[in-house]
Amino acid sequence: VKRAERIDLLHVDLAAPLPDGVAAAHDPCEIVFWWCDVPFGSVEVRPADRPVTARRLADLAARAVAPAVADRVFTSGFEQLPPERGAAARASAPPPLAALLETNELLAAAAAAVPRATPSDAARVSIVVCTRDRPDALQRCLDALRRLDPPAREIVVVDNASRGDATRCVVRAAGARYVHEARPGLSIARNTGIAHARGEIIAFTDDDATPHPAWLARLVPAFADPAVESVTGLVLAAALDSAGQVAFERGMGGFNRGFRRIRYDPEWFARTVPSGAPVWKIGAGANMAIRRGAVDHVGGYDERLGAGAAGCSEDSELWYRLLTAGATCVYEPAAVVFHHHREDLADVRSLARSYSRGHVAALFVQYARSRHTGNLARVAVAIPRHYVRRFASDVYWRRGMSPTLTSEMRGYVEGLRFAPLARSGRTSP
Amino acid sequence: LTDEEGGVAALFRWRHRPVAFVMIADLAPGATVSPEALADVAVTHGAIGLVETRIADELRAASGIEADAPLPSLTVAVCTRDRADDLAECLRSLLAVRDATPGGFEVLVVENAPSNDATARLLEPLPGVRRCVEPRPGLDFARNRAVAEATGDFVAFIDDDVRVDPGWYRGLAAALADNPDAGCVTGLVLAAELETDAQVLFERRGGFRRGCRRQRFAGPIQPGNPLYPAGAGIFGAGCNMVFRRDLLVELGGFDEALDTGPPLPGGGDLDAFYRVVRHGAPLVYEPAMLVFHRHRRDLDGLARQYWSWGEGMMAFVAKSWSVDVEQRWKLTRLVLWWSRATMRELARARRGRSELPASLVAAELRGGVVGLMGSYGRSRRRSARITRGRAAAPPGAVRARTTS
Repeated sequence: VKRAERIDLLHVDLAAPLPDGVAAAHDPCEIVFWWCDVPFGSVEVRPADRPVTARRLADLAARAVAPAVADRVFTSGFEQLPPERGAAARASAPPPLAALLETNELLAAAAAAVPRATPSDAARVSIVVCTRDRPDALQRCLDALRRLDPPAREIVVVDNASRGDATRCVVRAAGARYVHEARPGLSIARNTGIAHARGEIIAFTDDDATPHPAWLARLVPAFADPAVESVTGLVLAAALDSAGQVAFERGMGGFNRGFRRIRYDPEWFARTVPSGAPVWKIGAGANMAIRRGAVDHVGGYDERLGAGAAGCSEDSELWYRLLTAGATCVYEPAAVVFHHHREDLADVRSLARSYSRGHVAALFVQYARSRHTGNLARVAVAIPRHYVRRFASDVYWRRGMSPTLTSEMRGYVEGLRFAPLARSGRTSP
Repeated sequence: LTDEEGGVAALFRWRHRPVAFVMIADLAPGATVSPEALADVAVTHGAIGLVETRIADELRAASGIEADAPLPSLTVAVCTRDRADDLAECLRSLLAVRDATPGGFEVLVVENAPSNDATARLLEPLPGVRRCVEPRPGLDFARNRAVAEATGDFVAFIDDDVRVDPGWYRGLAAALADNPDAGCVTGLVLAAELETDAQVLFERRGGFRRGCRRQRFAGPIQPGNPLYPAGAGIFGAGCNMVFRRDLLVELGGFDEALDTGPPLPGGGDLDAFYRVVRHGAPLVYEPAMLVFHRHRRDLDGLARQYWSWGEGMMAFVAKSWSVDVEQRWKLTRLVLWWSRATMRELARARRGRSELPASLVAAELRGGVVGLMGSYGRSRRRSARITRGRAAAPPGAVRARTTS
């Protein structure tokens, strides 16, 4: 069975009449369903199901968006629980039948229920973008940030040891603040960004991402709850035109965490800590925000982790520290950032390798700081088991090997070299 | 509830469309189920289905799409043998649906090797019911006769022991309007009565149900189901299925060596579904195309049913393995999966941890072993003897040779 080389990405606004005969070509396609500027679900349409008539689109859309729509409209019964074993038992009671029958125009009601920040709320936010030698991508990102409605207080671009002068020119032309950080490393650059930011909330996106105009408006309201110290959002692929982009989104799981809100609270953390809390599922560094006060309390990004150092997972390690300190993290899918995945399969493979390596290193760091042995159990048992099962299942079901699996396994082995981090002290760097 | 009843089975619908089916067992005899309790059950099992259905209604309304749709011509075939009482009830419900349908459809009763004239006498006074006789005994002989006799572009097959729901035709029409490329549509089958322990047991274990969500099966693979399309049990049940007639003719009709009554009592429906999907035509499961089936009343009958499932399934697998070389590896994994699952179920039943008595699971397992041990070959020689000189190659063989 061949894996897809490219996937058409279509966006359908359900507030407009349904298009007839979408996806007439022969590649598989992914349709994301929106109501105005809120995404509610997606569906994959295979070549055998194309073209999609308006009649069938109504069916596909209804099934794809129902959980997220119901989650917004009704107070209980449809929430997405954070990932853990045996979670079904904790699901809340469904709403009364009368409420289900009497609410009309469900999609419009759901979109109206998504909170939107006022300009004064948005003015509490500094946006930090870290970049290195990618002026074209940065230009695209800054263009998108200029269209934010309402706008942020400021945009801080941290130039992380770029070689030329192009980055500075792009930033100046866009009217954003330019900060130079000579020491290479994404965690270092982000910490520098935090140090220079003046807002009380700091939102991060990456130079290879383009935020949706409503990104900030949807990301900030979750901070109204004082227990919430960090908010993450939905990262959608900007395009799936090459084998590399498909491998990143499908093979490695991409960044998409679904279309329903998820609340990661200290109770969830306490329940999952014994088997290694899956904090990396909370979100992605390309779409997250954190309170400055939280950084002051638990420290910034760990500079031994992240791109340019161990590999990645500097974001999830920070969430781990926040949760250990009793804070809550929220995933808010209405805050959308489009991410431009790497096109080249070789680039995606090296990314997969550094992700695995960074993940293992982060587990050692998390253990060193918290003494939660679940992190070590994950390194020693759960991750190798995961690779063996994936490999065995690909072979047994003749799927053809996942294009990034060997790179991920190599990254894992390299990550084991960071074991000395587990013996480092409990203090923040 | 009366004093004899111990539970309730409830079908919840939204504007005729099934949303959830729930069985509430272990109630005290004579108990009352309040509307509030029923509403609780409805939202516990049907909340998301209800939301899906209502959103689909809203989207269709906003785009000016009619939920109902016209249908190309249809022939409904009922194959029967010496069961005039069952047939009378089946036809009563079917003719009510036909008479309520603008334009109607053709109703065709195929009598399979009848031993008396009870069915003929039953049909005589009924208006607009065609009757024909297929003398060769075997359900798939009768089904192929129906394909040859039918005048509609689509042929529906319903068993003589089902009752057709008033929304059956509308469900089929909607499924075909949304999926104009479908080669086959199967429907939801629920219990017509739950009077005996055997019937309750059968329905509780899932019966013939395939859920209250429409499903579309198309293409060579299905995400999340590596056994597709070899695991043909997901597609539906033979007592409620509709085919595009010219597709069935092109595929060579039903395999007459399957569904032959006592020698090999099953597998013909699975085989037909499988060949439709392998041919590349989409198959749609439509819950609104609903019938009610009278399950076996006694445990012995139920044990025979389980036996015939095991044997029919594995005979289908053995046949497909020999003619569809490309899918052999998947069929082999299906047998491994099925053996493991059935033996585990048997172990649980032995320890009393299954709802099923061990004897039923053992019957299915034995049937499956017999099915793998050449019952298809024996049955094919037998059906060839019955046909005397008809083409000996099973349907599906020619295509499989050309594609592999």
